[in-house]
Amino acid sequence: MIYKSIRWRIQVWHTVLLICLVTGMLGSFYCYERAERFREIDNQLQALLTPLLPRIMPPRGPDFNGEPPPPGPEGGPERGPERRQDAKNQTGFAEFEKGPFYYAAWSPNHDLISQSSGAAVPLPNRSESGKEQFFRSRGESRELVNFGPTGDCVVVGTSMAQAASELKRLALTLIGVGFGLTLFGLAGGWWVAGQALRPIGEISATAQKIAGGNRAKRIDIHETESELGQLAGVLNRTFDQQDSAFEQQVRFTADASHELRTPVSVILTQVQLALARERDPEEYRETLQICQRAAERMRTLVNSLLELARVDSGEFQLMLEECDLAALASDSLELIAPLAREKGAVLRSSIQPVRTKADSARIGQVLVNLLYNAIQHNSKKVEVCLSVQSKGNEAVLRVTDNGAGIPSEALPHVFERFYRADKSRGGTKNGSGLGLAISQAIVQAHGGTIRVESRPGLGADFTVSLPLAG
Amino acid sequence: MRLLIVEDEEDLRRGLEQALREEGYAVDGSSEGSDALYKAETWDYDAIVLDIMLPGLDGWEILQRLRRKKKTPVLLLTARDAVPDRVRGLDLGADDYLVKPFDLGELLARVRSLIRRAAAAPNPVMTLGAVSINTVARTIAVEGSEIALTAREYALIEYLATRRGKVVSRTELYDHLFAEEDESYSNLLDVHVCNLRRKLGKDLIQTRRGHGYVID
Repeated sequence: MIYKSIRWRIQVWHTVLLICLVTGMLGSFYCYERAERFREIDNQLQALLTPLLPRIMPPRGPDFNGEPPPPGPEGGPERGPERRQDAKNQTGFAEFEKGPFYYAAWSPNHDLISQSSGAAVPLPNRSESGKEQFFRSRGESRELVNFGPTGDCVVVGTSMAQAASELKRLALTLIGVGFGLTLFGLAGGWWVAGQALRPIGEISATAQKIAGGNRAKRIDIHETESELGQLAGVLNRTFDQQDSAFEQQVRFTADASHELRTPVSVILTQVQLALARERDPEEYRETLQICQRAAERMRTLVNSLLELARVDSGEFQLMLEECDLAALASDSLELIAPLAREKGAVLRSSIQPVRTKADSARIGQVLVNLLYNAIQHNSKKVEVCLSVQSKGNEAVLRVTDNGAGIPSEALPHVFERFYRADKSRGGTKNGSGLGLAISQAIVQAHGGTIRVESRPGLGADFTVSLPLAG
Repeated sequence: MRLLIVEDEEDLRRGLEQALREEGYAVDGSSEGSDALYKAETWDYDAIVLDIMLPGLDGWEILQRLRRKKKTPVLLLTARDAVPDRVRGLDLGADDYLVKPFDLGELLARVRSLIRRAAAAPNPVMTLGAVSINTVARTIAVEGSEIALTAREYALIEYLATRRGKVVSRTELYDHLFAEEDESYSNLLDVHVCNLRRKLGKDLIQTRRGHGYVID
């Protein structure tokens, strides 16, 4: 659904915000302009009214104090037209003859005293506003109304038609501008969102390719500092890890099947040979013995593989119990003694009693494995020493020999699965190639460490450190 | 025909040696790289079955060094089945490649094929007048009826037949028909030749005095 895409959502929010913003800004501008126009007109009206008032209604003196002029022989009605005439003559009110302005004046008796030509203004009602002087809009006109102290009234006004049409034009212009701005902003927003999201598209496309099998592919990182650059970096590192885990798995499988090839070849060859013709019982017996050896070798390998699979899946369980490492060491020496005799190796030991919590069978397995390696990998008559002691809060088990040692380039790899210092050896005699990997897994499961040091020609030194209980 | 089997896996090598001996080949074995190279350079084997992972010199190295001196057919036998490994082996001068675990029958067929190709006699059935030799079944028939031969007799007639028209010296015959550990007497060859003439007719194998034997 394209409408669920981030780009679309950004665009919708952007549109709403942009419309609010543009409407608000242009609306404010229009209101301000309109108010400004009114104030200007009001000022003009005020400026016209102020000089007009004394001319139309000259102050009468103290007697003329809010009271309407008393009607009488010398009264206003006779003087009224006179005075009107007066006023007209005096001022001429030239400013009202041309131009947009008009006026009208009423006596306190609401009689129209004078007005400019063409001004048809109804008498304002004082109650329209409580004030003596106020502005009002009437139809298309703007008027300033002034009630004098005696109740006389003067209105100055002007037509707003021009201003209104100007304001209308302004409004239309603003709407047009607003529309244009909004469109431009929306297009810009669409482009910006696209720009911002493009790296995500690239990341996604690259990830797709990797998922499709192109494991060597990585995301191009242009800006390592940006958020997406960092994301790409994290993803690339993850891909690297995945890749190396995958490689490791592939190599492991290849190695495992490779190790199985030789014993399978032995069995196949022997069986096919035996079945090729009639044999005497002695020959069959020999064939069966050879097949047995090959099968035992496969069993060892398969057991080791299963053990490692358990380590990998986290199902590797230790049976921890209080045990004496010294007794374990003695048992291991006893177990390996026949092999040592056969190979002419000399076993030595320096064993102190050390008690700790450990899986005695597993630790025994580690010791036998280390002793076996020391004896088996050295062709000359080697001296192998096993020592057990406690050092601080650690139990230290060491197997040292004075044999050929391990080449320095092989040292970092000896705990790797199927790693062999002597590449050419596929061999029966060298075991499965998994012994040290399993030993390391056992020691690490105990919370300990296993290290190796070796100087070619001077022998190897394997040290197992186990944390002491308590 | 004399073969060299180079394989450090004791049980496998012994099985192969026995299988090939039962096929009538004279077989030498070696389980170590430099020993294998020495043997391969010293004797004219009809084919060498060579494992790659060996102590001492590895199979690649042996092949490379051997190719400087000899064109003995080599069948690489290995647990490494990756394509780059095969390509490398063939490019180094191996004539064939077989991945463990293999079928014994296939190995024997490939060895036969190697030997035929090396002798430029690609047809597994050779006909010499009335005599026909089936190199796959290892049988000989004269005018359609099969003649019983001992393994050594068969090997002798096959060796001469694959080099038809070429005089083969007694030394060469000894080298190719007897393995290192076989006991051989100086007149053993004469005995075999005599027996063959009796079974297959007088004129098949001719003696070139002072040079050797030839089948024309």
